[in-house]
Order: sequence, then structure tokens, then C-alpha cells
Amino acid sequence: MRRIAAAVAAIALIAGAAHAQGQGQGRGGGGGKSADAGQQERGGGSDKRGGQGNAQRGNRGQGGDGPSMAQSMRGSEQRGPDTRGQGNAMREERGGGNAQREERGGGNADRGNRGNERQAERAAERGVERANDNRGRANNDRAVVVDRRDRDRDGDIVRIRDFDSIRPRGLIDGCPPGLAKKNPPCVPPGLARNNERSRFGWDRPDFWGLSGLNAGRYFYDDGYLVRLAPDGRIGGYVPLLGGALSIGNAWPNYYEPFAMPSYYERYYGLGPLDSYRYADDVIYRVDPRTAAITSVAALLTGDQFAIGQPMSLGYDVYNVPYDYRDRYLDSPDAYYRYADGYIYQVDPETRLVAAAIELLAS
Amino acid sequence: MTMRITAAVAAAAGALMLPACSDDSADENASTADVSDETLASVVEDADGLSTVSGVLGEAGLEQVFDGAAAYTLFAPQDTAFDALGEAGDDLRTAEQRAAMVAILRDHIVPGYLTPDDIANAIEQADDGTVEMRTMGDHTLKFSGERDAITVTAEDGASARFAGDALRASNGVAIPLDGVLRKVSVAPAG
Repeated sequence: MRRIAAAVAAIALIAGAAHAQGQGQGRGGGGGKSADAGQQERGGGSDKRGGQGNAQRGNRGQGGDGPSMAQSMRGSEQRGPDTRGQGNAMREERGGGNAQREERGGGNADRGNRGNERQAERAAERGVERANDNRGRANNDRAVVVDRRDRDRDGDIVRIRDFDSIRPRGLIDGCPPGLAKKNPPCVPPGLARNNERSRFGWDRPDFWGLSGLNAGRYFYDDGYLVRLAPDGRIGGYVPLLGGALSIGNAWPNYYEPFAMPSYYERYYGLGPLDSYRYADDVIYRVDPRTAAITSVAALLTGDQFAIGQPMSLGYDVYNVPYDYRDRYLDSPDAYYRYADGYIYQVDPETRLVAAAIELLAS
Repeated sequence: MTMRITAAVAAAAGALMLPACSDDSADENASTADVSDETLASVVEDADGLSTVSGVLGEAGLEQVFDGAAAYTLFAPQDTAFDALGEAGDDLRTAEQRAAMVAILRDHIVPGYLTPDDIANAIEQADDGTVEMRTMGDHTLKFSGERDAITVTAEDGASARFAGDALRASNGVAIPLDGVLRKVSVAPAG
């Protein structure tokens, strides 16, 4: 997966969700007023989140993987300290199940909220306007609130996406649970390995979209991509979507919960932290009580574009979602491309990203 | 570790960035009636000849991906495309190989809402007649050909052609393909 930039400034004009039936203004205003410091939750929040998740599921301290993962996550979050503490409207709007977030959010609620309120009002107006020309289609449940601003304008809220917190999970040390129970443990099942290695190229991480894994000898086994250590034993593994990470399976305890950027939570409708999990560009829904996987909530490209930097290869075709096409149509002055919940405005000549536009879902 | 491209995205200097055609708005208006109010998940489920893909989406819990606000375009191999793979196609459709099937399908999904017209417009404006889109499986697809005969090619060289009308849903598009965008074959066990 290609990640462009550690932290991207997404100009987020958060406004209220505007429903087509004239609800936009009220909700938008409410969103603006409810600004809090949602971003702060990621700063140093891993301990609390991990603690909460683990306390419920007893995952803490599993073979040392948990703590090391948490440490790794904290490390990533500390990069770019300027990316946190920005005001973020509408956190309260999500309602139930977020009490945990409230307690994590403190500290920066006063930063930039004035601008947020003002813009929320403007955006709410636009939302209503948008809703009124909704082509009469029956998508009243689709919130349409978008905006963009120049990054450096004083008083505007610039919400920075802590993109680097969305990172690939990488290999888990050890061997998959099934093989760990074998005797002798963690030795590759020879026949299965030979069969799977010969098939479809499954022994290559690239087949699974995991080309970032370290070089080495890999094979597929029973829902996992497994890496052989030099001594011939199994040295690491990755649970795969549709394999170990299938519907009904318990979420593996070596993957601690971690919070997606708050915008992702809202855009993809993820709900509270205990109801979703993330691994390798896939967001899963889980049963909060059992942590069993119930469905896949979102697939991500992992592409993250920073304002002022070039858009990467692979976005040659206009791909703006249908409901936003009348507003964001390519012109000689600006092109628009969509990735992972954002529409990016791109300068046609320089191909530099000029703005990242959030699309707020209801 | 993933490949991280930070400041130096030199490759992007050569990136195509092709505008939607100037008559796009007209196309949009003309084709509004073709856009279903249903979600992509529903449209694919109801489509003829896409039962293999639809089945995998259901079994793997991916239907909700296409049932939400986020937009995706699915290049959906027709059932006959899997049939054409012979033994490998049969194998892929078993529950035991679902992880592989899902990995393959992820490379048939791109972010956003792409109609065949969008793709054809971009192809026509590309200097070399080829455009690329990222997949949700960490690869790219290349598109080329005439407006009514677009070919899509995967990184491993597997290719397919657009087959039949695109299914335009409220939150995405499904474009049927006559082939699977991954070279698959059952090789002798080594």
C-alpha cells in the first residue's frame, strides 16, 4: 500500500449533516457547537483504548504481542505532534456509546472552535441548498455536507488527519494458533505447504496485497499467510481477510483495537470503538460483546494525500461519487479525485493536491 | 513495512491526471435515469450472471462495504469468466479458498464512482491511450481501448473486457467483465 505523507491536512469543514427534508440547518448548527477535541483521543490514547478493549476481552498480555503493538502505535502517533488537538465538530452528534471518547477528548477544545462554528453554519446553509437540488432522488438519508478552505487562512479550522495512525499491521511473531497447538509446534505442514505454494502464487505476499512485508519465504495455510524463519520453522504470520478474519471468527487478540480517525468512524458508520477493528486496509465490524467479526465495514486503499504534495499514480479517471458530481466536476482550474472518503482537489497543471474535502455521512 | 512515498513523489510528475470530459455534465443528466436508488450491494445481488461474485461478497461479509455511504466501483467477472478458468475456477469457488477469492476480488474494486464513460473519456485524452486506477488490493488496473470495447489489464497481465451494461447504483458502479483479472491456474504440486 502506498501512503503519501504522514500527515495530511484535510480541511474539514465540518458541518452538520443535512438531510434533504430540511433538517440540514438545525443539525449543521448543532454540529458546529459541539466542537470538541476529538483528535486528542489519538494522542496517547492507545493505552486507554487498549486497556478498555482488553479488559473486556481479557486480551492483555498475550505473549507480549499486545504491549509491543501498543507501543508501536504510540510511536506512530507521536510523529507529527502538530497533527493533534485540532477542533473537531460533531463528536457529540454520534450519540450513544461514546462516553469513553468524551473522557479522552479533553484538552484542546478551545482551539479553533470559533471558526468551526462559523463554518458549520455556512456549510449547513450549503447543505440545505444542496439537499434542495437533490434531483428528487430518494436518498434523503445521505448527508451532503462538504466544504474546503485554503489551509492557511486564519480562523479556519484545519483538521489534520493523523493518517499515520492507520498503519499496516505487519507480521505477528510466532505461528498461527492452529499450528502452535501441533506437536511439534510451529513446524510447517509439509504437504499443505507444497500444495499451496504451487497454487496461484499464494506464497507471495503481493498476491494478498501485502507487498510491504519483508522479503522471505512465505506460504498460505488455513487462512493465514505464514513466513518461514531461516531455521525452517514458522517465524511470523498474517491473518487474511476471508481466511482467519472471516465472519463469525473471533477477532485475534494480538490485534488490539485501535481508533480510526474520527472522520473515518463517521464516514464509514463504524460506531463506537468496541464495535470495529482494523487490519491491513480493511475495517471490520465486530460484536462488541464477543469481538466476533460480523461483517466488513470498509475497504481502504490506504492512499493518503497531503495538501501541497502530488497525487500519486493510479487516479487517472474521474471517480467522484455520484451525489457529489454536480459540485465537484473537473474544470480547467481543478480536477477532483476520490479516495478513502475524501474528494481531493488537484491542480491540473502541477498535479498538487489543493484541498481534501470531507464527505460527511449522516 | 509498506512502501511509503513521502515528499518525493517523483513518479507523480509523469502521472496522468485526466479531466472528466467537458460534455460530462450532459452525459450525467442524460443518464440520471439509469442510476438506481439501490445500493451497489443490492444491484449486484440482483444482477444476472454475477452470482459468483455476489455469493463471495455475501459469504465474506463484504456486502456491507457496498451498502454504505462510501463509493466503490466493482469490476465484476461474470459467472462465465470463472467457468472459463476450469479447475482453478472451481477451486476458487470453494469455501476453503475463500481467502484467495477475496484477495482476487479486492483487485477488482477501485475507489469511487467510475462509469464506463468516465473511463472512456480518460482513455481518449491520455497520450498513450492507457489510464490507471488503484485497486483496494494494493495494485493497479490499466484501461485501454475504444469507447465500446474497453479492456482492463491487471499487473500480472491478466485482462478482460467490459461485458454488458454497467450497473449504476446510488453508491457505486458494477461493470461486468468477461474475464478474471488474475492469472490463475492449478499448477502441479511441487
